[in-house]
Amino acid sequence: MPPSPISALQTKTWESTLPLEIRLSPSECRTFDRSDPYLIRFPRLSYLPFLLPRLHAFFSSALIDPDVAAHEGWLSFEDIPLKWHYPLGLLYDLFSGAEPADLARHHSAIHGKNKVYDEERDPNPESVRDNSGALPWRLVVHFTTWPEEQLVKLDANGKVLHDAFINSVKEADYTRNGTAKVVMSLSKDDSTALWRAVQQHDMSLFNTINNKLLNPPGSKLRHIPVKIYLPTTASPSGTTATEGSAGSIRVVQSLVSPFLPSRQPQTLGTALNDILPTVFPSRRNPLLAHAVLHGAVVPLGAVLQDLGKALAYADGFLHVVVVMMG
Amino acid sequence: MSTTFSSPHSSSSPSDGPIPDDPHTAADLPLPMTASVILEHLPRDAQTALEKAGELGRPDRIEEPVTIRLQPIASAPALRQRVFKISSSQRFEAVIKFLRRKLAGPAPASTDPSAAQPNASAPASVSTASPSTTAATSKRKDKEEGESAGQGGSAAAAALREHESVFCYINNVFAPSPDENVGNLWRCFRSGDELVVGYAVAPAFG
Repeated sequence: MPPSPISALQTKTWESTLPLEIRLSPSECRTFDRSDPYLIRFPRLSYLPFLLPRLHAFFSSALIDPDVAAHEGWLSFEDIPLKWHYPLGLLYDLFSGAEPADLARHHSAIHGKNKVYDEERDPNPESVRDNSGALPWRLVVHFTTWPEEQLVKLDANGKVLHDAFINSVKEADYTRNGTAKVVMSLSKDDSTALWRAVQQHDMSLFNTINNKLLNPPGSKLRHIPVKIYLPTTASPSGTTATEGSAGSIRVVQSLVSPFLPSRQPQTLGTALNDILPTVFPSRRNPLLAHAVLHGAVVPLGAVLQDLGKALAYADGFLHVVVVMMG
Repeated sequence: MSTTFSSPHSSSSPSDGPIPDDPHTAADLPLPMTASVILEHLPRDAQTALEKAGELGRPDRIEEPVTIRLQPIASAPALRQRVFKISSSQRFEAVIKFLRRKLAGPAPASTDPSAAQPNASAPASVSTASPSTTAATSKRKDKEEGESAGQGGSAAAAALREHESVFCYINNVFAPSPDENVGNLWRCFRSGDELVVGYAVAPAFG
């Protein structure tokens, strides 16, 4: 039996990687010239701290302070510390400035009738951002001067990272069911296996556990876990303007039902139009902004519940990045 | 979106002051230069749309500032005042910091026995099974201090000690990341008009 479109899309998402070129922070490097970079293809769904032991081993001979521990490592892009509890693909989509791949242009899509991307709306190819410089994504690893204001410290045995993930899973599950019953009934073994699946990037192991969370007996899906990442130039008063940064990202989270009051299925477009009406004035067509998941523009006509099954990150959330049209 | 507290006292509110706005715990994340430059060159209509999006939808979605209720779990010390207002643009970290400050205050916290009861709606396993990352900043210190601190019941009603962590849970279900936006949590997980934050002191839980 061929895989369903949803599971095919999920497989594709899990297989998706980004090439990274990671250098040691020059201020921590004992050689006058920069050390060699560490190169790796890393899954979009995975978490950067999993790389720290390898990075630490790779750069240990170049470190001015050889006694620093691997878990004291943190990564930055253009001097912005990267949140270790965000999956890599989300960080890239938020921060790299790269143009998302235009899904609709390639496949007229899962929902053919809603051809979302209209060439006429974007007639000038110059508006397409130049991606040639974006990959590999060039990051810097640091093992000292932890940015306390911005990142929670990690610990040697990985408990902090684990707890952050599991709590996010719980938040997603609580959002889906409106009660804590399902996630609380997850056995210790299942919970451990879920985390192992993320560490080893094992989709089939992940699905065995995740399917229990997604299809709890006798419970009906109440809300789809979604977080929307909205870029903004207007820095609200009270926000510190960090040096080297002109804009900021606002995370918007709301309870989104799988169905509209009319009983029509909730689409990405209806949800975004409801939550961010000025940015998504149309439910069908992206007029001012695109919705991006895993580096690809998602058609606004896509049914949100399907997206939740196919394109959710390992923590259960659809982390939707809003990319403004240039 | 950011709100100032021009009237810190709402006559009907049981709270006697809001949790102060702290620019260090504002929720928005800074954007790197490359991505910011793109934003600066947006067409005017896109710029305008983003400015308005800062208000986060319809006014009925969020009442500003939002109300939170701080509820002790198990033997965590209770606060005399439990209901507070906080700006929705703050990170959850602001709540944790505020709570730590309150619990560490010089005056011993209320020892109202009913307040010290375990929260009936929270199965103990919830809290014990989900140690919070929110307390991670002080975790390392815990480790250095060893596991022995505060094991006895004597610590329960006393003020928070320097090395003790506070574990915060939304509705006693999950511990939000310190960088989550208070307004988002309130919008999604409030009970009535209050976001209920249960808190435990680390040594109370294995």
